[in-house]
Amino acid sequence: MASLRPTSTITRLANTLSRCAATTAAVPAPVPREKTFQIYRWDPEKPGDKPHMDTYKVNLNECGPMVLDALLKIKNEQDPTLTFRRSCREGICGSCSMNIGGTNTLACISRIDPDTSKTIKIYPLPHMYVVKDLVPDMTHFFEQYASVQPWLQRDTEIDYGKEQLHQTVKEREKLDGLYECILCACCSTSCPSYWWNSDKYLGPAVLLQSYRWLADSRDHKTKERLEKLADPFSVYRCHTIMNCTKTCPKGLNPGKAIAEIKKLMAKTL
Amino acid sequence: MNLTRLCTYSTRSCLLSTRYLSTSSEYKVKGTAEFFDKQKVLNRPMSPHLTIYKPQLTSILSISHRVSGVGWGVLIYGGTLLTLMPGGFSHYVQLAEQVAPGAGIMIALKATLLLPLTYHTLNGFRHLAWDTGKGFKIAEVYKSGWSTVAVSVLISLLIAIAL
Repeated sequence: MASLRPTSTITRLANTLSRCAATTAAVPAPVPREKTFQIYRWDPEKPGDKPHMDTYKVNLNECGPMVLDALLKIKNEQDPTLTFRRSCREGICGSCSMNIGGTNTLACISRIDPDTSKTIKIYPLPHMYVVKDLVPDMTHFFEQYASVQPWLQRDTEIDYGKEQLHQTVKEREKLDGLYECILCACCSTSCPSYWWNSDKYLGPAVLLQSYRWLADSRDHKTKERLEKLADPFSVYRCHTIMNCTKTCPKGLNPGKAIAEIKKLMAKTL
Repeated sequence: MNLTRLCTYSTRSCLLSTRYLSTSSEYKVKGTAEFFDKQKVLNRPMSPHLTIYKPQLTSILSISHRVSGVGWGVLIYGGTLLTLMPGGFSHYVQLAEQVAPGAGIMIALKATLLLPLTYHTLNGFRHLAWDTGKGFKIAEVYKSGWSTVAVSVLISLLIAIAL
């Protein structure tokens, strides 16, 4: 391969390499920047284990910029038993949602505060049953999601592949800020109403998803969907606290979506 | 009877048409009871919530709205009860004035008692705006929130001085 290239390229490459080596040798090793992480731990397999905080130190010079980088580094190098969910590492899968520094967010897009005098505390999503460490049981949350029937429903049967269901630009715009939700549950588990009533109240994430179909001009079941939600708990446990919108790592507005559902209910039913 | 119970659950839902509230059956999510039973059997801990979640203007103003509402409810009922006590309401006002520790402190005391009322009233307008779907951007929520706090403190002080 190299023989095919002009010699000047190889010479230049060699020069660059030697320059790099010289630079590396000239710079003294940087002072380690030890950042302290306190992480919630609970092991179901240890009989009688009580939830507690474990402390880890990570040198930020040898760590990626995000909290998920630090968690992976701890798991790889210090404690392989540390358990958490993660997948895409770019804020689109919603797996690594957790409570970092007091608010819910995605570990993969949450930057580590470089101030090493401050400790970062990491908890699972609040008021959820813990499977292990930072892993909450999301079963009920996803059952709630399924209960709003999050798919397109028409009055007549669709002959798939025959024709498109057209929308005007305006109709399509209504879905902006709704379709981007990745169901990470940061908003629902930041909501005190959801903390106290998750058995009957659907919570901001599921209601935003519900509104995504209510607002869709192609969906015909608006009235039926609203009738299903019309009870004192499913929607109306929302007291517009707005922790949901404040914490959404995707910058969406579940609080506003719920208000729009309430308006639709007042108008339609 | 059923309707009264619904009203205690949510005052705002009662402002809306009550037609559907009485006709709708309870919302069902598959496996809810089983889910909560399973957690008990597995003895899983509940992850920490209120104690670890960062206090924010959003949640603080919300709980203040509730506390100030309940507080003034208690004050109004308590005040009414005082009128039934021997000597009536004015007797206790005079009593308070006798032990009054100076004008400045009296104004501060009156303002403190008035603050829940002014705050609750003004924050009610925020809720009315939200009910029409307005002011939901986080920047707007914070602006209206801080304004409500500032204006209610100001009005409480002004009334306390005037009283």
